[in-house]
Amino acid sequence: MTDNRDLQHLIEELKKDKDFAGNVKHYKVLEGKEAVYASFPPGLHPSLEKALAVKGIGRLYSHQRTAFDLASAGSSFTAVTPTASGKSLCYHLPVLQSVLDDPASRALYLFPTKALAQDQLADLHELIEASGETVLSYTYDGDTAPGLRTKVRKSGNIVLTNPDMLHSGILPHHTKWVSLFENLKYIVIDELHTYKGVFGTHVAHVLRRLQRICAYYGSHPVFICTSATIANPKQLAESLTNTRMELIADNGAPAGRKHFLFYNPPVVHETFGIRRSAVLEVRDIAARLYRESVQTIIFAKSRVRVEMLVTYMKELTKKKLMDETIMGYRGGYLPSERRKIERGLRDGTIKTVVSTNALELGIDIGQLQACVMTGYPGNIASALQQAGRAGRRQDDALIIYVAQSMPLDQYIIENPGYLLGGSPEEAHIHPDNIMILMDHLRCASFELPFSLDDRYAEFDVQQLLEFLASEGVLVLAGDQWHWMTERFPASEVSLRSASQENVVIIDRSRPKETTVIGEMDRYSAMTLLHEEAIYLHQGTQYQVEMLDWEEKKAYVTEVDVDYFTDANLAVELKVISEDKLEERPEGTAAFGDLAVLAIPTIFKKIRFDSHDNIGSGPIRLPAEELHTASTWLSFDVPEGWTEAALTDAMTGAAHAMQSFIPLFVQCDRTDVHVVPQVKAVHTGKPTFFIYDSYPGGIGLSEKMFGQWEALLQQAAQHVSGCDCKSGCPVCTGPPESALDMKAGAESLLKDLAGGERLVL
Amino acid sequence: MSYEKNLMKMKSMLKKAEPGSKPDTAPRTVKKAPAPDYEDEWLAEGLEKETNRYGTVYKKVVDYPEDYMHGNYQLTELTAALQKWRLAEEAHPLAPDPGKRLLFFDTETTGLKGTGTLIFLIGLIEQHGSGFRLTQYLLPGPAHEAAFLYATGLWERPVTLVMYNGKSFDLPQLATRWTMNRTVLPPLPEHDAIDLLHGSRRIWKDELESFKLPAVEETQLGFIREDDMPGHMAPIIYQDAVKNGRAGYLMPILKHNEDDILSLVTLYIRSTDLVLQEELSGTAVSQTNIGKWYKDLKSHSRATAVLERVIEEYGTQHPTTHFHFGFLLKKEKRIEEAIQAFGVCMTKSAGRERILAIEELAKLYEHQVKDCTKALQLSGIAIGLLARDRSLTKPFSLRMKDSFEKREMRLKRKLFPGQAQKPTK
Repeated sequence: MTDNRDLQHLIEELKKDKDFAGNVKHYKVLEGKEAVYASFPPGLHPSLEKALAVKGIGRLYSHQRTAFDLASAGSSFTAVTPTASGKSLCYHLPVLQSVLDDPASRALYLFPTKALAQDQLADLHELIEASGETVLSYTYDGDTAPGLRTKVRKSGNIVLTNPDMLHSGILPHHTKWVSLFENLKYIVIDELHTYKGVFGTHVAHVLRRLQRICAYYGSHPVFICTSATIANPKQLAESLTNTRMELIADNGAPAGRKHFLFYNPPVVHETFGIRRSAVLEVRDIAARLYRESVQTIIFAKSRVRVEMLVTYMKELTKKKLMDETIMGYRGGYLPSERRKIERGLRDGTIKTVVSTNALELGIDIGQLQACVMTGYPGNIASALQQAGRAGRRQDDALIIYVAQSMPLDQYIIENPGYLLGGSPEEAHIHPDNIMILMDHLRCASFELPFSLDDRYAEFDVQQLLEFLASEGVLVLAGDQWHWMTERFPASEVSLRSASQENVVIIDRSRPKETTVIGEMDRYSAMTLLHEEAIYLHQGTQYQVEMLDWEEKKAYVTEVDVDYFTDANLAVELKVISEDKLEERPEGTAAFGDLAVLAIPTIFKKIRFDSHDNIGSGPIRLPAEELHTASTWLSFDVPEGWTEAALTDAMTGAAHAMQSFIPLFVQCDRTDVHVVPQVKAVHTGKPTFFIYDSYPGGIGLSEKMFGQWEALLQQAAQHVSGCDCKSGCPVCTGPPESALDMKAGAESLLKDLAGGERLVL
Repeated sequence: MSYEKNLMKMKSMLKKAEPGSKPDTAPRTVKKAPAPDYEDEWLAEGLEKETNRYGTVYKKVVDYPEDYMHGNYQLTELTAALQKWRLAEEAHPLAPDPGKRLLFFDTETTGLKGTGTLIFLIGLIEQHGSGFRLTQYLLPGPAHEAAFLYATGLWERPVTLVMYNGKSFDLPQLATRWTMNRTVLPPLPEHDAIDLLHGSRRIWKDELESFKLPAVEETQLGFIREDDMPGHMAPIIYQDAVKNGRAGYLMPILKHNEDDILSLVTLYIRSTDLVLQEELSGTAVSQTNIGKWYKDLKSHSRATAVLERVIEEYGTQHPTTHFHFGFLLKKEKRIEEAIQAFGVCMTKSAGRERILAIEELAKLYEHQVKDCTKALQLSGIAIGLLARDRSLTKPFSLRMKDSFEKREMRLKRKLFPGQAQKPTK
């Protein structure tokens, strides 16, 4: 089936089906919009016009034209480009134009991953070939053959790479790239929204270093950024690049009508509020769509889930020989395999694809008719990207959101307006983080000595350089700070990890093939990589056999068990400075610096489905100290509460609050911690602390400082709305014993949130 | 954790300009830096001062008399070596361009890679009068880099530089430093490079375990270092000298660099002797390596002469020689002799070489001798060996097995037309 009427018909059928419709909590329709076109810009090179004609493009969408005009005028800009809106022409056209005007021109494209760069290279090659011109474009990453590297450096008009390669492979060797840096006209940053949090902060500094090198060689490139829908694209881009940006927010691409179904699996365990597995529900829904011949993409959060769903779905085709109408798609597949799947999706031979968020990003698979989301991907931007995969141009699209039992998932089910309301989260970076700043100041000093009157981007760093000299890293000679150690600082700074000194995770399941499978910051490692911990890596379970804390190595072997481990961390908090203080109805809110002293105590083994505690053991590790930013809220002991009752209530409330912080700032649940103290040393009162998990803080708790009331309300509403009886993993956390966690937490939260009775 | 604590304190000191404001971007000009305040100490150690238009540099010049010995060799044997190259007229990686100055060259650096790594010592030795002259240029501090690079004269005209691992280390570093000073210095011309590490690897493959220069010195040059300062200490010592002006510790680095360069001269003499000699010297292994080197360079007559000499001397003791010789013979269409050579390997060689020799034999029998029965028999032997020989790597075994099975099938089709079928699975 291919046309709108059939999809409409299917939706009607679904609505009539009692088993199905009973679980659909909401049905929402987003109306489509017509395309807005613009003519080709007058100066457009005839070869580009020809190339576009070959691809069947006779005019541009309005945003592509605006992009071309801004770039030609030398203005940096950020374009908000939902899925399938022709974003790559926003940068290909001005970049190719500059090369055709002046063959010496160079451009640098940055993609968050190697795979994306390779995908985009294929796209770019196609366009160049259609133009009949010679423009040299290459990817430059760890996979680039040594023989090709010199050629890329010396003559690549367009170099596609990733931030990590720029950081450690290009900038510290800038003398090999003189002709690139002298002639760099454009820096393209695709998938801007992925540069957030600690990673984004690192990348912000890599870009500052890049601009410093460009200035040294006398070039002043224009930035072109493209982003998925987030609340603050312009601000993020400006902060990331330290450059003033124009914003292209109105997209000219057409969109069809989108039908959203919000589906909540039935409750199967009353006490714990556990619902039927979303994976099984998705399987049934997708099977139905498959039988109706609706081309569908299914999103699942982990590789394992993808494989599970593919296995289930393939049951549908097992009787047909060589059938490839159902495929999985995730990281770890070979590039050739991925190309084949992408082709199959475009030409329609694949009916159903099950994917991780790998397909959220700008890989060209054409548009499908339906999208099924297994759970909430964690933020609105991702959810919208996933939903955007469905809907061909003017056609209707069906999006089915299947909730899991998790708090955020359930929140979305109750509040579909949050997802569809058009106010996605803000993405933040924090270039001021002193630890990250210092890491990159070292790298910058290595690349090019600072003079006594130099600044580093927007920072006045002379005192910091003096500090580095006192540490023996720099030496002042003449009027410059020169690098004076044998170290190579870029190799000591990883953009993707949370802390300077990480624990390396080594898989030794096969004695002859020990491999490093990942790394983790020290702080998280204490609770996730202690001995006997079950560590989940891309869906595979590993048991930690030995943790060498001195050497920062965790040795793991693959296992297959039916439990996970959960460690307890005893946390001591010490306020170092109190920078802001405000009296509010909900209590006294403060913001400042915090020293966190953490000691892991014991771990528990918890069975997967039942969440039974099936064993425990001690953890013997030294205490770790973390200096970070924090906000805290203290309040008077409410009347009639015993200390014990308050402790339980605060523990439950903290659990609920932690789940909802991602609603306010775009981050992972583990990027911030919420710690309750019934009598905090600093305030002498019951206090909730929220602190950033990263040394120095990355601006998350600073954002939360102004949002305490909203957070409390959100948590209160969620706890009281939860279907469980006396607290569950979904609301107040895994129940410690037979205690009723729920009533206390609920009452405390409501009390603090202003005593308003919210929905019941 | 004190580092983190210190940094948290510095947070308050971090001053920011308006967001979006850019630092001053004017390209830098290099000012002529004054001599360092530790100059007297450096001069006291016997260094000479040289000033040029970019600033100051210190150097040490040593002259070696005609009969100076370094290990087993006299430096002046170089003259004979160069004469041999002239007579040989051989386009060999070790052959110098007679039209260019020949300099033996070695650097010491503050690190291993990247633009933050400085070269702080450049040593050059060349023939001077009837003896040799070594000049070592020492960087007084980072501010004097332009003066230091300029003083070496490497910008004047293209020369031939003889180095140890210089192609991948010293020369790229030199290019990087030159680029960092490119606005003031005259451009660096493209120099010829002779890399004795590459040469040593070719000559002594399977004979030396380590190709670190001291190991080669001990086994090939008869030179044993005394009180050598380990190379990896050099950066630390130099940094200390710049930070504190202490020159005393620098002298062992200069000594280390001097030994390196003297060894370059004698290693060049030794390598030339082995590569260009008229009669047999050296071991069967190194001579075979040299023969194979000529073969890879497409210098077939020299390759043939060297390999024949080894075979004459060692007979079938060293089957690898026959292996390489076999390919030469095959190229010259001396089929019977080639079969004989690979036949030696089939019985005497082991592992990978034996399999490859059998493959060559099978090819020769199939395509040249047109004896498919023999070729088929050989394939069978090879497949048997591939299944048994544990010393072979897995990818090699699989690839060869596949290739022999295809050969077998083809041969069977030729031998029994119309009967051969795909093997049933």
